[in-house]
Amino acid sequence: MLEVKALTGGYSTGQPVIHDLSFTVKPGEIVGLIGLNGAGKSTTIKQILGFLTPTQGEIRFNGRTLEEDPAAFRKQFAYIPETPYLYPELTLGEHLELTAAAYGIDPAVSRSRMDKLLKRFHMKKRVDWYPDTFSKGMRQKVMVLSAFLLEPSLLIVDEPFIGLDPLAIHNLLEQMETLKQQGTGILLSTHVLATAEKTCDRFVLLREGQIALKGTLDEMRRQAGLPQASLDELFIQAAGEEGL
Amino acid sequence: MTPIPALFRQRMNQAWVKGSRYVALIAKGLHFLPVFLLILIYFGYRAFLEWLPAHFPVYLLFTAIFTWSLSRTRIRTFVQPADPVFLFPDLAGLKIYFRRSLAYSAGIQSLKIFLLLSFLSPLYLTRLGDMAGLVTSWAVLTVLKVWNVWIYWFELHHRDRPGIPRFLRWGSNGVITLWLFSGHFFGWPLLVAILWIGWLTLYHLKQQPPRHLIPWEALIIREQRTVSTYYRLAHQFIDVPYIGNEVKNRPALGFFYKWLPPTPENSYLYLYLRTFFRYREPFGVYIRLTLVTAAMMAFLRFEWWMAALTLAGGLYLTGVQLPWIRRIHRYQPWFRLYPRPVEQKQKDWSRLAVGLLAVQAVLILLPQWWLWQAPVTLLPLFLLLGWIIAWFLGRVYLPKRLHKKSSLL
Repeated sequence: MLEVKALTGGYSTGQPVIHDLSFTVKPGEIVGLIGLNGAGKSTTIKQILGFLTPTQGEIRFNGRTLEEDPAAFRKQFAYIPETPYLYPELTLGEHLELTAAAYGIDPAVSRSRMDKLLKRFHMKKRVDWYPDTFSKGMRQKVMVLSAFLLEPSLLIVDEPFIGLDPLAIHNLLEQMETLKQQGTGILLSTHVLATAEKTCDRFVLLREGQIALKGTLDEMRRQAGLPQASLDELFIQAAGEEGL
Repeated sequence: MTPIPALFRQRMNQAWVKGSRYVALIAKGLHFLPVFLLILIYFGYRAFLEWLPAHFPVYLLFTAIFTWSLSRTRIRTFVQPADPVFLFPDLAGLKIYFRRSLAYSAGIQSLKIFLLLSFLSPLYLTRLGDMAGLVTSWAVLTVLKVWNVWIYWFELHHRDRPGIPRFLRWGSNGVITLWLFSGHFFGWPLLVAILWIGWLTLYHLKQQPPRHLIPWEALIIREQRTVSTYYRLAHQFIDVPYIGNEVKNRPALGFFYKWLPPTPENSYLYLYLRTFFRYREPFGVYIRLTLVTAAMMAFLRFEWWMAALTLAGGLYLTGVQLPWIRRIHRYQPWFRLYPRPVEQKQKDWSRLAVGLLAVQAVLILLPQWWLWQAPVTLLPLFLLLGWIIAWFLGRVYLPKRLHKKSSLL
């Protein structure tokens, strides 16, 4: 389980972007991290990944912090970034091979997973292609494939739907659901609220670096005092100019 | 907002200011090296002129050099990737912008021809002709260079079939320079050349696409390539934050890295090997420095200690290029997330660097027959020295330098 406790941090110690965030992601659930641009979603994710150091608070995954054992901590999760950063010098197949090697996945297992994923995301023919020939959506698919190849305990996904075609979004959601059934916890940061409402079990709604609402949709409706509100309406109320 | 016609001058000025700052920075770090190089070139050139056999076909050498320098044409446009969107609405402004770009390029390219001819003038005056001939050659070459810039601009518009126009241009330059330097130009060849050049120009003018069709993609790629070349040159002396670099597949070199099994212990080496063999640089520098060092050792036949210094110099100059292989990945999120011990990034880089430098030492030394034939065979000793230097650079010196340069690594 991912536990974020009283997390405060940002890009410089004097100017924290997120303040006192606490939430969890349990095995087998999808938690939606939502908020306006600049609300602190990506900063929160960077803190969890260890790209930024918290000024206060702590992040534990299955009881362990990053500082205690960085390799063991990182081995348990996979990350799909918002911007598809690829190695220009590696083919699609080599991206997957390198990811499998770095995470110590048995070659036979990784080959079988690769085959299934490549087929599912219609990338089998492009296995020997270099990234400069890929569209943005295809580049995003490489990130998605690499993350799913790991079948991690925790999957952190930052705005995955931008650039993907509808079929790829459908496959991505299906694959996330399969992982969830296998016990993977998923932290999903997105602006696509209709999809988030259907997919996520719980939500963390950020406003100016603080948690405005959190919990299931019903719990958030109660917190907001809007018993019939959709996620869209809750978002507009909580994240908007006035806030709640 | 700057009007588009004035934008060219503004960008040109910015490029010159930036360039002069780089030159100043480089000069600061080089101390007396440029002076030393100039002296070396001066004496080397004099020795070359004295050594050159009387029957050597100097006119052919001039033909080759000037065919190459006339035909290898560059147009500096200073265009930026956002230009097709933001500048496109003002077609009249763009027309002036590109006209200025062509005039600027023609001027700079002609200056390069002038400098090259000035450098070669002692050879011309001793073997080919007198001062009047030299000045006439300069005038003909300048006209030809301006023509090349103009025709190259047309070629950029026809990227679907660039082969034939380029062949015709290179061929024309070759034939005219051959006539010029063999001393047979001012007669009927001049008339033929004028007619031929005129016909070729008319052909291009006739094929000219509509004015609103600007080959943006080709111009942006060429501009980025030119800037990258300058950056790479500067990077030989100082640290340049951004260096554009192309990836080439090079399947023939797969043999050098496909042997490595993709295991957790090899994760970074798996990546570094492909980075080295598939990026244009530092692979290109590695090959060039290997050839130059081997040639210097073979042709100059130094004392053994001079040869050892040359070998060490070649390995060092190659070694300082190699940290880039690791540095290029520092902002890649996955590279930072792999669940491997932090020190493995360094260890794998050292494995690659030591291997590459050790192989380079072998490639430099094996063709040195004089080392095999010396009264006592020095080759094993030199090989051992090369490997020790490779080990020292890859394991001790360069990792320390890397560590000092960036905490992100």
